[in-house]
Amino acid sequence: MTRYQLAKVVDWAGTLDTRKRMQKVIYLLQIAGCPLEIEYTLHFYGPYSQEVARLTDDLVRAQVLVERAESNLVGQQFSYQLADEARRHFAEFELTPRGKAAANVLTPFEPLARQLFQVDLKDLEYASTVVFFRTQGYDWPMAIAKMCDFKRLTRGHQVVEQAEATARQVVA
Amino acid sequence: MSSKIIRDPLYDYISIDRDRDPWLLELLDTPEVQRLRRIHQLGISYLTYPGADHNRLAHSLGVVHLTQQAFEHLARISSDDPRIRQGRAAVLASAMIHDVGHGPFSHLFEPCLGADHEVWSRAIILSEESAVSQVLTRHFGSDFPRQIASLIDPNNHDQPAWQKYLLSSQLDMDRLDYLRRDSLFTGAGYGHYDWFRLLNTFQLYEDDDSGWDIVWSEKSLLAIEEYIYSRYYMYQNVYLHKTTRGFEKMLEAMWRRAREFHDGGVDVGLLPAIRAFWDAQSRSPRGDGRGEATVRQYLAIEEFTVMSQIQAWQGHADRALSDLARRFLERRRFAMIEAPSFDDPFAPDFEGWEAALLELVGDWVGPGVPAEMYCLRDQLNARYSQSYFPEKESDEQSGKNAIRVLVEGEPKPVEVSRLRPRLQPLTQGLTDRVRYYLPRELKENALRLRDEWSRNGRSAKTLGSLRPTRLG
Repeated sequence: MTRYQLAKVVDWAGTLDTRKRMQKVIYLLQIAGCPLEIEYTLHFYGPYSQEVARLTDDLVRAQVLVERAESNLVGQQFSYQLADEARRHFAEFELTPRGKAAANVLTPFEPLARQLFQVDLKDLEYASTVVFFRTQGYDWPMAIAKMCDFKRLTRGHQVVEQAEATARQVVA
Repeated sequence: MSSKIIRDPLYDYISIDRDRDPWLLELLDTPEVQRLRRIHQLGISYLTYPGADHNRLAHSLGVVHLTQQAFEHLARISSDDPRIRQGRAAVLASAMIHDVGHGPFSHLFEPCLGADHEVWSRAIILSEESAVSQVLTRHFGSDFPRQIASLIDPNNHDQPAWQKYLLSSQLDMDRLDYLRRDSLFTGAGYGHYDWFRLLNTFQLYEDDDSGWDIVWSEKSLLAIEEYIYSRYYMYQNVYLHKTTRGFEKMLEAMWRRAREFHDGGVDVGLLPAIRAFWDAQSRSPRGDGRGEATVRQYLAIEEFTVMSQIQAWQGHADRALSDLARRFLERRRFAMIEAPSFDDPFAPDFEGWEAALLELVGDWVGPGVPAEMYCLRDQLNARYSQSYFPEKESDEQSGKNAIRVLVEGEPKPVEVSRLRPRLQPLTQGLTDRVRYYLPRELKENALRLRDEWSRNGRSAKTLGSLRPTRLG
């Protein structure tokens, strides 16, 4: 994944709330066919990529992204926006041949990303976990059963059905 | 009680109880585990540090020793909870065989063979033909090898998280052993920390969602800090040493060339074990890179096989293959240069720069030899080169991606760099770093090209007119 690609996802969101959403949205975009080439491993809170975490911090240091931290009952959470100055460079880059080519690859995935920004955070976690099990070769019922065992959820519960619907939408 | 006592330079004695754990001694005596004696723990770091000749078996025994102690501690703090007793054998077995799938020269040779040691570790453990699998099945039942394979699989969570974290996390038994062992054998002098305290102060934290997790108490803070700094120094001085990395890249280029020839039907005088493995691997390729290669074929490739092959290539008709083989055996290293600095914050132009550098090298190597063989790119993936990189958002943290400490008054464990801000320069994400290795004759011109490229980007002039004596 390039700096441009991650910045573009944040740009679509306006404000991207939480690193968790960043992780899961990018994972699901990749599953939907977006060529990001990121390696994810399954952590307890769903698919997780150290590369995405690093790149996010890298863009904050490069003053491309503005990071805001908030402490709440969960602990610390972070949100991200494209910095004003970076937005100008961003627009200039997208006018170059390399920038246009990079943008063309991502544009088809913008509608899905915008949908995923609206999905409840827990739903994203469960849906991406189901999808992860699907990529390991399990069929839908088994992937959902594995997710329920892993997350200690009851099959047939509303959150499980919602996660399945979100997962199927991405995989379709 | 009678114990098997093994001398070890780190722990003085490693002891395995013959009455309690006879199976562990049987596991140690299997051919697959004994093979680890013939695998250098640090690959070819001995080309930089002559003392770095220690092997994977000694390390595996060290991990077993620390895991035994960790379970004694766990039994104490959990009041002998049955979950601890039930988990002991699986984690101890995993400690002994977690590296059983390593090939010659450990990690570094994986791209040369096209093999992933984690994939092969699981294949060996699950293979009914392997002695390892037979010992595990005989003592614990036919499902036990699958449990062990899932414990060492980062994407399988069938086994409890606390068991996995003991073996593989940001602070685990594997790292606790190899840091100190590598420090001792290289003589680098780094890698010292209060391992005893770390081993005797961790706690089991009951998370509402995920069950037990491994965390540390506040009194471990200084020891954790020391451990993170030790890792940092070892990475800087040993694991990423430019000389070692340069020879690793040389090996990769040499073996990539041979593989291309072999796959294209050109005879490169392959030894039977390597030929059999590559041929089987190429048939009906699978996603995990094994193809039709069997465990037996994989295990037949030893370090002495690899060295014999390189020795044979010294006389090969291909100029580049024979030249790199000689350079490697004679320890004649390439010079290293860093990539230029790029201004563009969104898409650094590596492609343009590398094309210019390859043109410079191509002029020197002449026709018939790919310039890439003498312009070796080394991408230091930050993921593998940072001492500690924690996830900073609490909702995404676990023992896998953060070292956390129980703090009085805090409802949840706190990630250690939040408690010790002086760790943050080390923990904040590094980006990938790119270096290039090329013949020493080209270094000066390559540096000039880099300076020009840093100033002018794609409009930089190439320096093709400045040609030193050509290769061969």
